Amino acid sequence: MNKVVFISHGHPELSKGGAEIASWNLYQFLKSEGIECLYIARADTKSHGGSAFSQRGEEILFHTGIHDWFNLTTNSTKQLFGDLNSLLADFKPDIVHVHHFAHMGIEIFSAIKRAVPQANLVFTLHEFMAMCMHNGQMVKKDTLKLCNKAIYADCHKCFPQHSPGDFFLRKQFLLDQFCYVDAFVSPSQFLADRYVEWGISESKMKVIENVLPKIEPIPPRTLHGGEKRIRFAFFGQINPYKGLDLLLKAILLLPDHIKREIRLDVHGANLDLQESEFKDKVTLLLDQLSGIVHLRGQYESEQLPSRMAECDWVIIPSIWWENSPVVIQEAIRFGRPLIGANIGGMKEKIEGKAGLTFEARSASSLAERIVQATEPEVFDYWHGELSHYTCAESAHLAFLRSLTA
Amino acid sequence: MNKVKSLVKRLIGRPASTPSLINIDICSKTVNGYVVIGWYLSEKVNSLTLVDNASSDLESNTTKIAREDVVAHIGQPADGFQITVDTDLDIDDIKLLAKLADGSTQKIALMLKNAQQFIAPRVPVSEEQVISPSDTEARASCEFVIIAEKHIFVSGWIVDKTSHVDAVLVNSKGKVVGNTVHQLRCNRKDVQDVFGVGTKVNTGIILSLERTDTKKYLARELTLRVHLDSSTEQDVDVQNLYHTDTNPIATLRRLLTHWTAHDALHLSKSVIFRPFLSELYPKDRKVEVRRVDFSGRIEHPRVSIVIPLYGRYDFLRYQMSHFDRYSEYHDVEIIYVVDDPNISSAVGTLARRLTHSTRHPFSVLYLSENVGFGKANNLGVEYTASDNLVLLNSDVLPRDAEWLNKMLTLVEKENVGIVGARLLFEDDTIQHNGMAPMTVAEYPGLYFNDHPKKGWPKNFAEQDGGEQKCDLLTAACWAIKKTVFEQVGGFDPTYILGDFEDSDLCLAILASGRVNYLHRDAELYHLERQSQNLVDSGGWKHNVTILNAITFNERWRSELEILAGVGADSNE
Repeated sequence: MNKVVFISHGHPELSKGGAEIASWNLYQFLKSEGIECLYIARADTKSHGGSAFSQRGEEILFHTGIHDWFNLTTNSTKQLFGDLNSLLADFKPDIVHVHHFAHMGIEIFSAIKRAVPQANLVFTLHEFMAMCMHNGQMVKKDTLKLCNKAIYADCHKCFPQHSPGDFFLRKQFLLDQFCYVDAFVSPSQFLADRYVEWGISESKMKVIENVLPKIEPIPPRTLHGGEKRIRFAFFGQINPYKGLDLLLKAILLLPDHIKREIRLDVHGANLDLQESEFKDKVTLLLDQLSGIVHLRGQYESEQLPSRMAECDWVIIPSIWWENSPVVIQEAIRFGRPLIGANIGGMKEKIEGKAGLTFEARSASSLAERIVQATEPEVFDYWHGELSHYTCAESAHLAFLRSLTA
Repeated sequence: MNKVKSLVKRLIGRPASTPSLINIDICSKTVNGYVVIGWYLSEKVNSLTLVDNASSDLESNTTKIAREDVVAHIGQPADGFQITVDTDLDIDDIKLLAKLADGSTQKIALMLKNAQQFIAPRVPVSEEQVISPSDTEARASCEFVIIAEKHIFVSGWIVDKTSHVDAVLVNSKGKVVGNTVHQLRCNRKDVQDVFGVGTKVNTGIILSLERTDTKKYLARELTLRVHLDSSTEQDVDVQNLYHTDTNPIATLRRLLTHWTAHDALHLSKSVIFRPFLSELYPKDRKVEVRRVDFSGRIEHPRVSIVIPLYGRYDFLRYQMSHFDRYSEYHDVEIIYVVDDPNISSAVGTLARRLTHSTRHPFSVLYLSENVGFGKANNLGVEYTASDNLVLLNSDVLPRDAEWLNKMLTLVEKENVGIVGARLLFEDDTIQHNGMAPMTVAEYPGLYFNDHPKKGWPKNFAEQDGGEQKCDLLTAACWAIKKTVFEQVGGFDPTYILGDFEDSDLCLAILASGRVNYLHRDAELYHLERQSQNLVDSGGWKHNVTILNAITFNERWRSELEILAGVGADSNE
């Protein structure tokens, strides 16, 4: 493996999404291994003189767009099949590592295969966008109920402008386009299983966790005079999918003697931007939990270690599946066990490995787990388990080398 | 995850830098009406509804959608919305009505936006017949006449007490321009509503006249002279005049709107429509055909697949993506026939775009006018290079590439006529497993095409796969030798708008001594009538089916009776 091209649907300095960061971290890691890499990030802005490319540091910005969000196709064929084609042919990569097709078009796979047919085409899946039109969440649009499977008739209920047959056509079309991919990488087994059940060949699927930059563990918080593990933290956006309201309800359900002692720090923002029904619900709960819950606001990545250091446990109460949320990996690496919902990526990454799980969407189940977690010996056990974590760097390297061996 | 937010950002639309109160991302036609999707500033907008031009509420259905992406981008509270409405109104006649937080209202005009895949043929909506005060005063109205070469069709209503229509069509000199050969009374609830209780419901009139001259008339030159209850003479103006040589679908609908096919008397008078239909859809009508090849042509193809496109053209994307995926199609010629000038331009654009992402060559035949399913296929076949044909509907998508060899192996055997496939709906239930004649209570004596076990789970249908004799097969997917197809003259264009021409051709093949087969191991998906529904779902379309059924039964009565005698289990 001599040359790798990364294609991301955004530059992490411009858009801090999980896929952008995951591709960036892997790109940085491969570079540090001495592999010649080219990072192409789709950019939102107009370029100089209407060109398809511009530059940001060492990385190339790709100015293109998607035009049909049902079929996920683009009209910008010149950019994909002209400009990108020429650039790839010129660079002659062994591997093209695509981290998303959003904002560029599902045709990117055929474009890459036309440009560099000998190169291995790897695609990392980050959510369910191909199988769920509801932002790839696999959650019903009106009721927010979880979807276990993309059933055409159910998709039609979420998007009545498209018939069940339309969703059938969409799926077949996307599966056709995925045929150009030589290998799929999924950061979680859960996501991989869903895609294999949906129609992607199991033989092409590889589960490898996302790569994180080097993180040093932080020692557990020092307890004083019989103190329990009573400091909990929530990291993430405040919106209906992330389940902060569920967490607040769980705290309300705690026995008084625990409620008096514990503290929850909420590291996230945007409550004021939520629709009024959700905002009112959370505000009312916060009023009832005054002195227990502290809104700490948004944080920059350099602030993360100190905020992690303050807490004993990190709670992920999401009501949607999650896949491999970066906060789970970060908490593990910093040495903070987790409490998470027993569905999807949270269950896979936490249960039996990194902490406690509760029955998804159940405040009383979460409350029980919080009570359990305050016991120092429970914390100590799960904190000890975190040391078994192995970084995915070598797995990525071995996988990519196997493709070009 | 943050990434969800960024993915969503332009999933439907990107907020403008200075956000408007209300933003529409998608406005698209649906099967029954429209859908409008967008977002609004939730602190400034209280509610959204759809109204007509008179500001009457259209009883739309609104769903709120969380738009974290918009909120994050504009830094203000915002909500997404999806509004669906079932309506026959044109988009120009629908407005988005916003009630604002400051108590005011804002009306926003709608236009189709981001809706390419839903473009439907521009079939005009039915002309609403307004009952004017002068009509009321005259107690009679001649709403339109349709002039054919030798006949005139008259439609209107007369509020009288008799069932007999005493009326003649005269020109400006008072000369009768046609002799009545058929007349019918029709139910006109709208007229009864105007004239009130005590008025009979069948005030509607249909007259078929044999012309006494060959003059070209304008509407104002003709008058319907009515004798109300054979006493009072009343002249009423002809409000509209149509000819049979323009806009056949619109004229067809006018012809058939008030015909009550399930009424035995009406059914017996179906002959009224014949002279007009034969002029609206002449068998020998010449159309211009323009062929465009995309990515070249297949040399010496093993098989040619002919696919008519009508209404929805986005099937082209899905089918070509499929054909491009499997190497089994490498020697397969694919010919699309655009039987709908309304979509020609859009088909060309999509086809050109597809040549970037797909390598498989395909050809598009652009027809200068809509000729109907059968004739479009006949024209497509003329351009094929292989003696093996597959006729495929645009809304059929194979499960994989295995079906083709199975069907071709069978069709190449001696004495085989048509080979059909097992077709499935998208939920894996049976769409087509062979057809059989059936009767329905409303139309005694007429045989229709039944699809036994339609909608049944596949495992309830015959599991013993392979080749089975089957007399009647849907033309949604056929394999047939070109020579055999041409020997029986292809599809008969007498059948209008795609009905019965496939069973007609099946019977013609049987009559030629060949045997038709269903290959149950050849499975494809058929999203039945996804394109045809775009025409209209009104009663007139049902009436077209009945007229086609009458033609079909007249031609094949004895054969159908034999098949029906054995029943749906005739398939061995």
